Amino acid sequence: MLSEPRIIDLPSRPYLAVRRIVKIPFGTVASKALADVSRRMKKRGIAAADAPLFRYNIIDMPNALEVDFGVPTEREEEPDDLLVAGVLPAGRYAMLTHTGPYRDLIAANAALLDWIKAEGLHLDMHPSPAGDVFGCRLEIYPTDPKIEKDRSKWVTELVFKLAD
Amino acid sequence: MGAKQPMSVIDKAIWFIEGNFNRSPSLDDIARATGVSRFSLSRSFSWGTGMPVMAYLRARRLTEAWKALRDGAPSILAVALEAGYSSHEGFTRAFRDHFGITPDEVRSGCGIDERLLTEPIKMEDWNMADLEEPRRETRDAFTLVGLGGRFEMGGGNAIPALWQRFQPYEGTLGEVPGYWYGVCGDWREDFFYMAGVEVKRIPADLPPELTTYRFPAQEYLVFRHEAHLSELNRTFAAIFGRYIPDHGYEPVDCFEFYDEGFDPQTGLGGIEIWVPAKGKHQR
Repeated sequence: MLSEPRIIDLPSRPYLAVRRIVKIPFGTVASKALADVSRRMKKRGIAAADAPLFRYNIIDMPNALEVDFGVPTEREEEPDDLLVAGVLPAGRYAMLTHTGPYRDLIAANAALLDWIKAEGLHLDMHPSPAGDVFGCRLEIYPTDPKIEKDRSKWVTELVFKLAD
Repeated sequence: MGAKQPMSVIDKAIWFIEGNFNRSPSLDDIARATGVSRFSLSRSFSWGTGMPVMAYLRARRLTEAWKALRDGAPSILAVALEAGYSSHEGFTRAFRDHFGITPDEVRSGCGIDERLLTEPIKMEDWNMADLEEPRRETRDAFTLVGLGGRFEMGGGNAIPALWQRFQPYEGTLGEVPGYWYGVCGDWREDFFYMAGVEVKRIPADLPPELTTYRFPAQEYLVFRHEAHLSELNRTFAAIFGRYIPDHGYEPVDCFEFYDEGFDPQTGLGGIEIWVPAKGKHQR
């Protein structure tokens, strides 16, 4: 189930993540990366400030993507040998909420991209030799599948930064 | 058919690297796969191949990435992933540092200096001398003074120059006459070498450019090098690339031992390499 897309303004938010180049399907890369983030943050005494997220830095479909698998933090933290420290930039974002199994997320992404195009809006994105580089393209995962076993209730927020 | 030699530590390391470089193995991972400590692997590999193990890994990953890009791989990210990199930025930086151009420039047809490519090292490429079984010697603690410095693996030509610079000090240090020592150790990407002599007491007026080194009382494996001094690297490669790891010893600081039988003018006369017999119990 998809919500109506909308435009929201977001403040900048720091995060810590494991950066990986991945192919689709991700397999266990995402869950392993998030587990690594969680373990390292626990070791460093840093708490998550919000739900886990995937930040798609570069997309080169159908070959590979560069993704930050991470969580927001209260304040900017230092990177280390595992974690990259980044900031989700403030600005205007297009947002859509998907409720249901994660396998339907490709269709949800397509729906939000179609809406952005239909509205005459433009993503914060530029092409590069490595693929399309995004200003900030997020999938946020507020539902913990280990707690909520019913896949039809899994919520995912798609939040794409728009060009200024 | 002749009996096949068992895989050495270096064989195992190369085999493991070739099968795993897209997983970005760490030095610890490679050491685990070869069954020796990371320090032992590091030193054995450097001596056996003339290249630090992680530099070899990096060069192999980037060489295969270059081949894929040259052959028209459609995706830089996919090539980076295959080469074991986790970010586009990291891959691009490593690639540019190694080849001097970016992955995208390769795809655009820019050439590289192909001497920068690293193919898998084959066993026959190793330049190892045949070794006699070492004799065992126990020696009391002793102190050396001399000129020391750090040298790159394979950059052995700088060592004769070090000996030349040390020559003016000889006879002024109250040293034990007739013996000279070349201390080798602290292997990292490079290694420490000191050209020196044995002293019973460190001179009070020791020139500040000279350094001291003390070996404790211990047991040594003593290897003999009879060939010309210019072939000493081959003996070191055989000692540290094969004998030491294969017999379960740790490659700790050692010394070359020159006596009056050695002729520095001709480079002949033979020398000994004394390696502390450490780590046998860890087998």
